Amino acid sequence: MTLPGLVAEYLRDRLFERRLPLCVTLDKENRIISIDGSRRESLLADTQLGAKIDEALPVLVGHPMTETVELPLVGLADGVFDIHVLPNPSGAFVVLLDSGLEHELLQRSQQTTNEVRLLHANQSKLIRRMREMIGELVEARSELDHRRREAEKHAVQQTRFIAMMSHEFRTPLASIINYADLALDSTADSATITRSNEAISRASRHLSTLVEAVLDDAKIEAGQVKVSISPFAVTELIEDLTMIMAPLAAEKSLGFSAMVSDAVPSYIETDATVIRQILINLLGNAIKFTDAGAITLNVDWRNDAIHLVVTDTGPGIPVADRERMLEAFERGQRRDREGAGLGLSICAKLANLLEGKVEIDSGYQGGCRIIVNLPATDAGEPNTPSPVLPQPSSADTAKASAVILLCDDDEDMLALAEYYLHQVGYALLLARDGLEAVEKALAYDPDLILMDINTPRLNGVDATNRLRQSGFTKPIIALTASDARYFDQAAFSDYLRKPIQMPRLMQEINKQLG
Amino acid sequence: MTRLTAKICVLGEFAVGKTSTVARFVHNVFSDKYLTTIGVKIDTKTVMIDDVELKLVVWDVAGTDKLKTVDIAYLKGASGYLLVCDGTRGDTFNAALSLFDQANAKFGDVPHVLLVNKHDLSTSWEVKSADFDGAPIAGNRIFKTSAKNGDRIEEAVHALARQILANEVGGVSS
Repeated sequence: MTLPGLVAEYLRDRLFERRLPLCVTLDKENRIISIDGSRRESLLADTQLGAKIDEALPVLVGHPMTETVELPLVGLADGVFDIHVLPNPSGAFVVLLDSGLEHELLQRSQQTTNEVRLLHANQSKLIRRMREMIGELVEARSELDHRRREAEKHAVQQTRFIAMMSHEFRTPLASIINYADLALDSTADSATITRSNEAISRASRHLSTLVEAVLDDAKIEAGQVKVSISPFAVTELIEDLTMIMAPLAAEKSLGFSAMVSDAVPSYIETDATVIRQILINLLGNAIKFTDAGAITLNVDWRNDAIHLVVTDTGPGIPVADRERMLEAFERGQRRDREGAGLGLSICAKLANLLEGKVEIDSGYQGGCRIIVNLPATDAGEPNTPSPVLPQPSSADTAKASAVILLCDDDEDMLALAEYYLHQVGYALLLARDGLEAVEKALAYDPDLILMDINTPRLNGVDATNRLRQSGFTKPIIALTASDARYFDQAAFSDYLRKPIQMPRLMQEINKQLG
Repeated sequence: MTRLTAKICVLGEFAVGKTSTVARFVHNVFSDKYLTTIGVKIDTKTVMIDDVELKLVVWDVAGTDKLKTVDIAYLKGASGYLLVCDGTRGDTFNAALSLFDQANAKFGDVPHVLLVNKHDLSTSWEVKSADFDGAPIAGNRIFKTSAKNGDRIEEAVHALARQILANEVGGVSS
């Protein structure tokens, strides 16, 4: 483009006026030959001719002077400049143009732009956080709903529990109170007293069963039931259960059979106590609700799990009740049998402890069929023979003339045991606390001691340890209302859980003395 | 004692604290006020690395996530660069990594460090330490810094200076 001389001169003057150019001429070694133009006094005031350009203007460190370079808007200590490097055959020119005004305008507009961008970024972040918080609120709401439903479920269970307590506990209690009054009536004849005592005995056993069920359920709910996995013989467990359950079935003229499939390994690893408790509950229920026919227990092995099926010929469970029957205190529509409505619920919870499950066979029509699947491991043959289970004694009679020391602070327990043990021919020493028991044992050297764990002055465990330390070697059987895991059994020969059934007590005494 | 001069550039997205980082390192000052950089701002600072007195000519380049022609002109002759991002803005970390890739493609493997700034606001950070694992920058070249309280800034610049001295790339003049 060619401009008229006047215009070109005008533009040159305007450029010089506005941009205050400073021109530095360099030789081939980048040494300053001359400095011309404006602002020399502020920019290169101390610079001597002959100095290297990158020492005079460090901004040019690293830049080759052999190519054309344009560096716009370079902020130096003395202002903002556009820096141009123009090589020529004898060296180069470095031209600095003041760009302070342009910088100021750009700075103002870019500042606004960047602040708006920052605001947008913060706004996006806030929106994102708000969405997250809404998500968290929805989650919290859902959790609260879940907890509310759980609370409502617990409230329903509690209501059921109270209703069950009101009816199931009051009925036998009323029976005990009334019959006890009758038995104590001085005008009652012996036949009336006997009938009363029988009724009291029945009601007490029923109450005991109810209390056991409620306590079992509470222990499971509280996580106090710990699983203990160890190998055991399946057939021995089933035979043992048969011995317990078959007589109960026989009392109602019901058939009872238990079958173990050949597929079941001889020894399996799981918690035998839990399986035992599940089967006692299921078989007990089956016997309770069946009036005619038979109860069968089938044991099979499927997919690394023990498969237990309890079948009865009772009235069955109505389809509508089947699902909720597995919940606590749920008795379905059948109310013609006593019970806490806990049996199936306890079984389901116990099975859950072993990562198994309990199901009511919905397709079975001839009564009720409950299926239990519990994962287990084939334990192969054990290295040491398993202990032989003691055979129950059919006769509740003393095996030998022996002296038994009974230590218990419960007067009723003392009176009851005294009555039974005398009846079968044992001589009896009584102690009401641990200290008295130690003194009498060391003085009279009884053949066997029945030692309650919770006794005044000196507890049963300490009394037993003291006797063992004094050289007493004869059998000492612990009597406890709590789980045997909660006391030191080392010094005892065996233990019995309260409430104690007298035939079981006789069996244990005969075993220890035999 | 050896005296050397090297040009270093400071790159990163806008408002991540590049100018504040330079102000902290060169003048040991900090201001909360945000002032946009236009073009480039030049500062110098001399550091001692063992027995070398290294004069750093610091080019504080206006914020960007993409190297434009002018930025490439600014970068020419640099012996190394500081990448800066804002820990409270995850996108600025990705922008810094993108600038690293672009610079790498244009100038090859030049000494560099990454400063994840605003560590004084670490509770609001979107950038997590786990993000460093997937980054193409070695872990020992990444620093969690705070221009506000000065945390690890000098350490990061010294790490860059050591790389420059070890590298002895063109641009370092005695």
